[in-house]
Amino acid sequence: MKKLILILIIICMLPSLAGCEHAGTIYSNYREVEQLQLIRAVGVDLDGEDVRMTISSGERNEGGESMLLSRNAESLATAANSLQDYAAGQELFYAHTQYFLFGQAAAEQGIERYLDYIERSTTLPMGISLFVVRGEKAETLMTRSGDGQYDTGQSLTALKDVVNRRGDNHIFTCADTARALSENGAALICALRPATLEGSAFTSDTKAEVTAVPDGFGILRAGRLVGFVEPDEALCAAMLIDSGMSSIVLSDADGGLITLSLEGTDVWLEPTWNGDGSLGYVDVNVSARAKLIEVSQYHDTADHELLDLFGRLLSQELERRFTNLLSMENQFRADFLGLGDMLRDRDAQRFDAMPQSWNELLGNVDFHVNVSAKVGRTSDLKSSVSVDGEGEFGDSGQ
Amino acid sequence: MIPANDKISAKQLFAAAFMCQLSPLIRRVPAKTAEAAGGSAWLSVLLAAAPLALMFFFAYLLVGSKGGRGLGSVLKDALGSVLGRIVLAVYAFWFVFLAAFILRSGADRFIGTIYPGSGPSLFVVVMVLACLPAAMGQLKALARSAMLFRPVLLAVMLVVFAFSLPDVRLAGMWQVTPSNELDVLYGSFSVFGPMSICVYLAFVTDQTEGEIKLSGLTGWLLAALAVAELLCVTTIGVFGAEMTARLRNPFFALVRDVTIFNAVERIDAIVVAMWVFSDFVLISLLLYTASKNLRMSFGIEPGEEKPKMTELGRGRWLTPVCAALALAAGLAMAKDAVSLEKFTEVIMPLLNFLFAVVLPPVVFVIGRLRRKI
Repeated sequence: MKKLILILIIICMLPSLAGCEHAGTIYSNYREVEQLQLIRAVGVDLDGEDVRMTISSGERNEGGESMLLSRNAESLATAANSLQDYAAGQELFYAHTQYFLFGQAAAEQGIERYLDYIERSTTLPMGISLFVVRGEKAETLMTRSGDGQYDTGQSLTALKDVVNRRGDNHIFTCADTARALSENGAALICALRPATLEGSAFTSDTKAEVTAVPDGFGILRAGRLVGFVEPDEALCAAMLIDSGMSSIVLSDADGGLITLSLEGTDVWLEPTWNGDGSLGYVDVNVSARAKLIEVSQYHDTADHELLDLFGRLLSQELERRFTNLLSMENQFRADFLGLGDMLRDRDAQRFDAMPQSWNELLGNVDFHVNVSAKVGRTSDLKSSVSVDGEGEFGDSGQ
Repeated sequence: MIPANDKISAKQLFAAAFMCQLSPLIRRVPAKTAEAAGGSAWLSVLLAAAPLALMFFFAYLLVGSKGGRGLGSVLKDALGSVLGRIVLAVYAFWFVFLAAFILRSGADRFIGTIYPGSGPSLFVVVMVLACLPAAMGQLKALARSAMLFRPVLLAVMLVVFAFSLPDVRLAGMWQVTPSNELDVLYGSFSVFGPMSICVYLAFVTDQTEGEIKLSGLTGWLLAALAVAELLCVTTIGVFGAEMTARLRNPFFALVRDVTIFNAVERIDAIVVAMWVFSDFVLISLLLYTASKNLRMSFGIEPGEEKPKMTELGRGRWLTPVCAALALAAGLAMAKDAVSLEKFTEVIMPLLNFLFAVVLPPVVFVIGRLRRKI
């Protein structure tokens, strides 16, 4: 009898094992891989009152085709629904989306609603990389770079690798941006510029294929794009964020160009407090170490005085760039660099006891930039290449 | 009389305790400590160590280190036959209600992470069906399963923590000022609550063989606190305090972004599914203990020999009844995540505080006054 009951129970359970695709199984959200269209990049623009969402499925696989679609709707969620209707029988799958691009106009209107969408989504990862397309629509960059050999996903993956290695910019994730906005009220976002593969600037008349190149940072205040950090100053912002290392070009008194590779930088803040507990000024101390990698005219690079001179030139250049960058904190009244957190880490009690809050102070904070830079030569070349024929071994080869 | 062959070791008891606290810990600790104490939430975990140690050592003294005595028999001895039986039955109903809540919040975890838009019923029903045989079976089988699941879940957590480390930013976490000392203290309640659930295992210490060593209890507590600390530091280090407090499941949001050597990503579905192990041990133990308490309350002896799984005699019918009650309560508890919040934020923490923290000392005082313990 017991065996009969067990057999009946097993028979009753069999319909639930009918397969993954059909109704009646417990796999309520199972999808066949072949039916999925993996979306790699999402672009968001404004079109009047509507949100225009562009999706790119990324690189073309063997025998497969990439998908590039755009649709308008009142919100991102409804735009995503509308895109699904045009997906030619495939299910748009956002779980592996890596890049989220905002057109400049959309970012200027505010990105908090889009961050909210990503945070609430159970499919979109919080580690998705965010970009703002400078002076253009995200759709323009995505459609134009999707026409030929390179597509948005590929060029952004390459760009991300290069930026991480070179260190002159930084790609922030949705989690980074949402965290910075909620804690500091301001954040940075990596800015991109469409450019042709030949290197010329992109205009509306450009017919050639385009790619994305990094172009400084966008400054977000209260979720809205309010300005940009230019590439020169972006290097200093990257130094503050993760000790940015990159090449930097200086010119000496004779007009010669000296290219240095920044090997390591340290930036630390030193607040000076007034007697009444208010903030006097902030010393921004920068220590940079660089190596000579290219000079445009002959220099005896074994000469220490010359290296000291290069060090002074580097200090001046970094001081100029840092001063410009920090003046933007005051100009936009936005702590997009998170300096308040750094100051609080130095002395939380005094910071919390300031008569004016940090946000109230922004706009009038007195930053003093002090840079000390040391330049060394690369170890395998004692002096730069001589072409005047008067070198020590100049005639020996003739 | 407990069946002689249904005894567990102290190690198995601690493994079960570790598994039981994982689900509530994940649900409450990162978000609630971040909400209360901000970046200093890691201090709340440390601060919770003292009251937790006091509570567990008190329970340890109450049931004795030698085993052979459970909180159930202590209750009966201290409060007398009538009141003792009533309190035992009340504890049993609390365990059923708690099991219902774990069932419902486990379903909510699935809905909120990998099955958006689904209803909770299927998850609740399947979980009850999975836990019922375990609760009907022997305690040692359940404890052995806890021993097996513990390293699996620990390994998963360590992988998540290790691969999240590059994104952790500790700035702002080390500064504690007088202005946020009270917040840190308040945050410690959010650690104390979920971990205090383990005190209910004192109801099965009469089924432990061998001595429960104080060093073992201390080691278990330190390990559990270390996991809570890692959970706090990693989630708040990645998302920041404000965002962690805003997220419903910060740990699983963290898991969503874990990429292993750029080769494996989106392991969230697997990790969420693995938390079923923690729910399974906790719910099965709650149903087992509820049924055991009711049997003690009704004066039903379980018998000495090993019962068959399908046998319903000697009060074993109480286990499916408890499971049915938990199922009904779990299905009726909350229609959606918003309604569930009332239980998560207010009702369950208050009831848990009453049953885990307030009642045992009251029982102890009454027992001492009556010179019964």
